[in-house]
Amino acid sequence: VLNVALAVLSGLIWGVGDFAGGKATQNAAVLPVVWVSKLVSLPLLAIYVMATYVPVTPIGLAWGAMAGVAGLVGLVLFYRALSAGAMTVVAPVTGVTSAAIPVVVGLLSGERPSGSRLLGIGCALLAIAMVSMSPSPPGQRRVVSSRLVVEALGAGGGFALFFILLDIAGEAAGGSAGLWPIVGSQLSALVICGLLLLMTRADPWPRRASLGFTMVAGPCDMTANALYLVASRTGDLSVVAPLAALYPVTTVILALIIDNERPHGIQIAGLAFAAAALVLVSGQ
Amino acid sequence: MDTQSLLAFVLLPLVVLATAITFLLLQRARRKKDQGQ
Repeated sequence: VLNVALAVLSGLIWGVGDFAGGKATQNAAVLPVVWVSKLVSLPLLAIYVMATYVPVTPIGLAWGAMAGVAGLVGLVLFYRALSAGAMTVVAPVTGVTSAAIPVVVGLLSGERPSGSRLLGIGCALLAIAMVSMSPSPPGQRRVVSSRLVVEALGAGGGFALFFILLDIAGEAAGGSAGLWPIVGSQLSALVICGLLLLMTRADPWPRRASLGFTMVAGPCDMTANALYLVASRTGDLSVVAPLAALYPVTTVILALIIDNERPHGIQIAGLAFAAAALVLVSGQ
Repeated sequence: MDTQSLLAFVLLPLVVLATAITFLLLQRARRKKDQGQ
């Protein structure tokens, strides 16, 4: 039950980070927001590492670094696809892909969740798709090109790979990798983002209006990553990943509370499926 | 998981979550105040 609780908390905090990150990128370019968010989360990461200290494991660091690259590729593709429009298609395709691939990989690698848990996993996948959907504004035609679908799938694949590589990283070094995989993922994403900023000669600092949201998004994202790592180390990938991928649920709830956005019918139905998924997966 | 690690994985994330939500609510209050003026 602990791994389920940690995965749910991870999804909850990811959702808050996603919401804050979304707010930050409304007024600033993606790369500076990602770079600064990774940078400001380093002191908190140091506290986590000290609080749960184990000697450095190079293998854990290496797997974590690869996870960081996969996550960053997923993020860039996701924002690229979103900027092309048709969020109604991009968000659910990416969300479901990122959750479904780890489920398949987990099942293929021999995980055998109980019947009720499998049903819960199915509900979680449905919930992710439904909560991410929102009807197009009236009068606006949806343009869904094959390139857009490929980018959305690529983003989902990147996020899925992030989940899978962190799971492998957690099990590396005989399960005693500590939080070093998160250090690896944060540093690799920070370095690559920095290099991209140098190459594009873009201003590395987001606008002042975005700075507060960026400073909230980074620590939330890093905390969620750490919780997911611990959850995946003690629980099945096929169970933990779809629960952590339920983060759009938090985003929708925050949009309701903070922005007074009214959720659509399909999103409310998605919240019900998410609740059902949590109940089913929490049982044995 | 030992007590110290458990505290780190429960207390610290809750502090992060509470801080983030407080910030978002403060932003909302500020925006409402600006709209009211």
